[in-house]
Amino acid sequence: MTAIQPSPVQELTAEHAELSAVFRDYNVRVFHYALQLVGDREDALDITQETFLRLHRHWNRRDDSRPVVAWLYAIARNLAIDLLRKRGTRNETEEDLNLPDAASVTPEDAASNSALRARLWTAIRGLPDPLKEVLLLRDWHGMRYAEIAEITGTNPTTVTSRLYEARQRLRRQLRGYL
Amino acid sequence: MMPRQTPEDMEQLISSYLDGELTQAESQRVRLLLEDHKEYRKVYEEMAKLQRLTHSLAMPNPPDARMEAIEKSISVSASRRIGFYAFWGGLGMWLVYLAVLFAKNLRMPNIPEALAGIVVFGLVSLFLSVVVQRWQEMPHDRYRRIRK
Repeated sequence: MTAIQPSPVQELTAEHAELSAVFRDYNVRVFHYALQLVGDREDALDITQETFLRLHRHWNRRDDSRPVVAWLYAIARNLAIDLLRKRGTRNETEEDLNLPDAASVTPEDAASNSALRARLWTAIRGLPDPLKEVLLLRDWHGMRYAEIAEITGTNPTTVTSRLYEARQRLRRQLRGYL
Repeated sequence: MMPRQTPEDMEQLISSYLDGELTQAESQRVRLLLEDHKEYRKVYEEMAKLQRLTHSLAMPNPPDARMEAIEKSISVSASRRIGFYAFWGGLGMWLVYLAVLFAKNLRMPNIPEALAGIVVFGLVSLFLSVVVQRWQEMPHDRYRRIRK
């Protein structure tokens, strides 16, 4: 029995449905990732839009055996890097991240979790970019090492060592609060 | 024989253990290490707390209106592609039509015949694009089941 081949229009309609599902599943996550990378809400929204448009443009080049999420994050990461290169600096306004002002946190306040989170966020922002992105991809986005390696264009061994280095630096900076 | 591991190597193993990225044998080794060494247990607990706190960092959600606009822009881009295929498909069919006319009569089609071809294939393409658009919108059409 021969299988019925879908017409190009049917294929495009199916592709559109698939893309809509991917958008609904991942739009907020991609926005958060972009925001963590560029630190500006408007830029993060632009990156989110461009990420999905690029995904759509190259959808027929996808590899079905690999999860789309790593591809999506890799596109967002490349766009963020391009933007940061053009801009030459990173906006790191704390208002964008809905966090309290870390400078005003006293040791007494630090007993509370929100103050500790503010201090932690300040420490994370102070990490070198390769360590910060690996830490956020693992601990905030919940990615596996293999996925992080794919997104960042490295390998799982590098991810392991960067993650350990990031955690060590955070432990040192937050000594007394953990 | 396994090479001698430094405290840093052990802590790196603990970091990977926390993420569930070790083999069964390595995990077992870390579990024993944590049972036997208070200082490594402290490292593990601190890393685990850091991980929990990082995971709970609040991030603002994107505005719904903007996300809807982005979703729409993707749909528009999809429709444009369908239009693109319809245009080139129509043009291709028209050229085939001209070729058939030429083959049958062994002469170039005259202007009325060529124009008629354009009109017919334009209408067919338009009809197809409307059908496709309607088909795409059907799942989101809340008025579909309402009788007039």
